[in-house]
Amino acid sequence: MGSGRKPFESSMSQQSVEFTASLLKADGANVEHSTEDWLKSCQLDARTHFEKCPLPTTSEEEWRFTDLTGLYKSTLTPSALDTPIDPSVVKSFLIPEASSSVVLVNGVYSPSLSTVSSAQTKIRVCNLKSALNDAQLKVSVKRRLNSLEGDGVSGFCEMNTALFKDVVVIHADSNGNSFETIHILNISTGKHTFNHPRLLLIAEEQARVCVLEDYIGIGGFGYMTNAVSELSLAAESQVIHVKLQRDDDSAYHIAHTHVGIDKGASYQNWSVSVGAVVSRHNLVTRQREDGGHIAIKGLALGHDKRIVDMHSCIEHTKPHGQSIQVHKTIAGDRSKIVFNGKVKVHKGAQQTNSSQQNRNLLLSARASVDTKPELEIFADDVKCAHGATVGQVSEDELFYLKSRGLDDDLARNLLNYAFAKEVIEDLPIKSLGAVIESYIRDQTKI
Amino acid sequence: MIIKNAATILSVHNLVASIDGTQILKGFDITVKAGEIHAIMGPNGSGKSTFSKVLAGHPSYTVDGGTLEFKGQSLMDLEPDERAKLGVFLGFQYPVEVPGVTNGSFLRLAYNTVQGARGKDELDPLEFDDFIQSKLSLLGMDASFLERSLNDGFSGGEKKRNEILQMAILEPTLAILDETDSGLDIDALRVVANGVNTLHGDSDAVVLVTHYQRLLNYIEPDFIHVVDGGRVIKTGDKSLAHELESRGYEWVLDENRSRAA
Repeated sequence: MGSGRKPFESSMSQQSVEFTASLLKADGANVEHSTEDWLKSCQLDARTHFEKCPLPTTSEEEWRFTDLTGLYKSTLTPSALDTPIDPSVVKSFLIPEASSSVVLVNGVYSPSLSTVSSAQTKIRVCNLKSALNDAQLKVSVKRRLNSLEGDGVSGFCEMNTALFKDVVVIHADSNGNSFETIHILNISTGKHTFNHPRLLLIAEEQARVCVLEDYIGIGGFGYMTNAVSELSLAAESQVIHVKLQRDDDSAYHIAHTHVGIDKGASYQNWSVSVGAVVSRHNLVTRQREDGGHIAIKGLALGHDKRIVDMHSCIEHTKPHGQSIQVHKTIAGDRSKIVFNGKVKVHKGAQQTNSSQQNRNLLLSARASVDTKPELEIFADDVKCAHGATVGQVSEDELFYLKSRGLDDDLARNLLNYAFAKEVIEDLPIKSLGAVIESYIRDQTKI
Repeated sequence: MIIKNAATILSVHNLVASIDGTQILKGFDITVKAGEIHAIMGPNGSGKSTFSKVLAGHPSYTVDGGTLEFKGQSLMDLEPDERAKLGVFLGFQYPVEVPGVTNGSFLRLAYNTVQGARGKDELDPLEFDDFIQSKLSLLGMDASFLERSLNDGFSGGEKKRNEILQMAILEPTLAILDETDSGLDIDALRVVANGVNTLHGDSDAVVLVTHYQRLLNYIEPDFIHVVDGGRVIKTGDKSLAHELESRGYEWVLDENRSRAA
């Protein structure tokens, strides 16, 4: 790791430093089962880095819209490791499409709530301990875990590495043409607690897999979720990755997703943010070899005083890469929505074809949207398109619907849903469509 | 058809309306009774389309004076959806494209909303499918129309058919069709006109807002009103349309000017 961050200089960082110290103090030891030396040292290194460098504040360019003062001022404690939870409540969040459901309570794998299909021979889903007990899998995990680097890495990644209690490991081998769906349900139950969910997905050559990374709060309040997901796609593999952030409205959700794709691989991402009081998602997708296809669709809903920040970075380092990104947001009440979409085309990444579109719908005069497309192109034979718009519900559309008998609320709701629909209509997990639709209806009421 | 002693559906008296401080309607009068078809004609910028929008309650227009009554009830303080529920329907000159809203589900939503307000039964999706089939065939539309986004990427003719389809399911007492003939080829015009003729009966009324006489060959009006400067300046029977077609509007305007002088 090494993002070139300087140790703290200003007093503005004081709060973040104190917060960092309190977390380390509160958490105490590292992973209990790190009998592995490499893992131990990896966590210790992260801890050392993290002690030296404060968490980001708004004085940093990359974080200037993500005001975490509320988080830094709060006193958090580690999540309890054995929180009782009603299985029927958990069940209501599960999806019928999943062949395996991995349930984590406060960042820790719950075998009793999870259903991991034993029929799967090509796709292995397990926690860190089981992964390390498998000699072959251990090699892959050791190679891929904590391989974060470059853009989008922040102190929160190191915090996760230093403090994670477990890792969900998904290892997919080539399995013909079928996509299996794996649901990872992260449940937070604590009041003013923190947890550090970690996901490692390794798709081998020609493997296909669909993963739903899902965050919810059941009884939790004012907690912090600090998630890190690492996905590595080998040549010709295809991964569908849906991240649904529906944490409690009082929660802080920080997530880093780092994806590396090899020759001819395809990565499709849906990132939907409908929860938390402040959420930040850094999504870095790196095309590591010739060819490869990246498709990212995002939807963020802002209501009340919520801040939703999406920083994405698509890196084309080799020729013939394709990427397409559509990010839509709806900002109501006093919410604040941020989109920073970076596309980097490295020298020599010729014939890259990239397009990015960001559309924002403002529902209230007090809501705000900050959008920043950022193109860094160092190759001369590329096609890169981008566009960003901020607008309001069209009066003409509204009048048209009302003239057919729909009242104002219904007409507005329908238009908001229609705006968001482009992002969710081709979701491969069909049952999620209705789930997300209900969030849109609830959160965009005038 | 003019019916003796028919109930008055629309009564507009001395209506004055403006947009962004500019007065467009300057004392508009019209009375429409059940069973009748009226045509409002006039040169560009005369206020024809404004009248239809004001009638439907477009928020951009301010009513500064006069009365606007539908079956004896003032429409002035009613929202567009409340007017629709009462039975006022505006067929748009430029139907709005709404990507992401499925035509079929929109039609059902509109139908059920209006039915509910009128104290009638709502239909579930299957019942609605049956109900809409006959309406679709009346307008020569196939069921694939229902799967598409509302007006999104529709041709001019498809949009206008879709307007009449909405009229067919909402069963208005008063339909104002704003330039429904514009952008239609002759075959589409026949289909749309046939749709309107089929839907029109003794207990409802139709107001056609049109620039050309062409539509009136297919939908025969009982009254023709010539509008200029935001007012009705001449009212006649259908022969007036032919006269306008052959002589243009200028003579009516001249006649009006000399009368005023």
